[in-house]
Amino acid sequence: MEDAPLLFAGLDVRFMVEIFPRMVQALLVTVQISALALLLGIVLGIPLGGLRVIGPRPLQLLIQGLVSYIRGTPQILHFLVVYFALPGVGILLDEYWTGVVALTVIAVGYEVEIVRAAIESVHKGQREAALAQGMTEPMAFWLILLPQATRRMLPALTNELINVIKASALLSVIAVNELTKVGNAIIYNTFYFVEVLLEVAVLYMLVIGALSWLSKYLENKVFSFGAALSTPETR
Amino acid sequence: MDGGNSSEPVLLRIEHLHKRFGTTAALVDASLTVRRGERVVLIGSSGSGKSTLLRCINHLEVPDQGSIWLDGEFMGGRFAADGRWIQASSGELARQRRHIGMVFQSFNLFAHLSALDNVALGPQWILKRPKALARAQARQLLAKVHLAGHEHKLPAQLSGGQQQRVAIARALAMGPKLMLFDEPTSALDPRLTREVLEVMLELAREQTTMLVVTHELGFARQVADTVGFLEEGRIVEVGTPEQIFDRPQHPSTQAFLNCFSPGGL
Repeated sequence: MEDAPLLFAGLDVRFMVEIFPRMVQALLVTVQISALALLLGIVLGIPLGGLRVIGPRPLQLLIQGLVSYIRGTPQILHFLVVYFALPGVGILLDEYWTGVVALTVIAVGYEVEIVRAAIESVHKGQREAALAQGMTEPMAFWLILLPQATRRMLPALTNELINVIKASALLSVIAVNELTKVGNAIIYNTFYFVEVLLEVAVLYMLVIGALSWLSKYLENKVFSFGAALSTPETR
Repeated sequence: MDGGNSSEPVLLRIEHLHKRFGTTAALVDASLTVRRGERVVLIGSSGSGKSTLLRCINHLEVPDQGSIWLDGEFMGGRFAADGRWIQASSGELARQRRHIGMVFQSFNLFAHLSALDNVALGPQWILKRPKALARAQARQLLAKVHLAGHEHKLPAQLSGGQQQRVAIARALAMGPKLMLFDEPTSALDPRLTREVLEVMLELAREQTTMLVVTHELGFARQVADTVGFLEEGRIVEVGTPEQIFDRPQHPSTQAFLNCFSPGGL
């Protein structure tokens, strides 16, 4: 800070450039944890979402209860549960994995519903045709329903990743060095409120904007059998 | 009661089938036999229970009462030694359904798969045939339903008649003992109906055992060994096409057929 501040619209640009590498590093932690949580969320959410639709009735109710709990409670509660309650039953996680696990819980809660809605939106004739041919329910799910539901899930799943990235800011309360925490730390040391918060906001927006674009691209290019899905009936 | 192939063994036996949807009786004490190689056509007004009967045979609908035997095997479950009824597991049911091909009114082709994959998928995943073999057989079947050259099209790129012929090939690919057709041409215009019926005629000539629900009475007269007339969930009359179309005995059958006669309207 020895040099004279380089001001633009009242902002200290030189300072903003100076902290940029630390912010990007923190952003990478944010993205890494969020992506891990989303991935684990998908790995758990797809089978749970499938069982929510085709599983035995008691299991369906159990999954529904779990979803209601996750969606019906504040997100910070899940961090506190993982951070403070899990050690009580002998599961000790460091801050990083506490973040991953808590975000996964949040992601699963929403992804189960995303998968369920997407599966149920596939025309019922598809499942009937699969069963009539001699497929078991799991086969019909993996071979027929899930591939068709995937495209419908993508926009919602991207939204969910965006939600998870935003929820990851809560990790700052358990001292994980993600973007919000690092931004806060810089503010406490320097009192450059506006410069830091602006940079934090822009970085979040860049990542989330890129994800929205990716979702639209996948929706249009990769899963191009969409025309068939919108009119599964007679043409 | 049975049609042309009365020396052939019974393939499908339906006895005293009952099915209700809420307060509506969809099937009332329905009994029917189909011999191997026999072509049975069911006619009747919409809502008379024809489709429900078909869907009960492969347990897409679970009957409330009654029994269905396919090739001597009880569909949907079995009786234990002590006479208790044991519901078939989903795996057992899936195995039983492999012997019954079904063609739907709305085609229900797998929307995300090409015509070829629609036909090859079952043999490959359910019958565990090698992929190359399943695809080679699928090609032959598509050629058989006059769709050579359309292998790589998605269902949405095919006409209704083409989709239905893919659906027939898909059902045949499993090598079923019995083919069920649930109003296969009701969603099609007359030209597309014709191309589907022609394929069905060819199957009939090959002695495929078929149970067909249709409003195409010309087709029924041409291919059926046996015609059944349903009304309000009951099979009220069964006979040869000549008996049913030329000398219907039951007043309901007579009234129904009158709607189709030139003087009917």
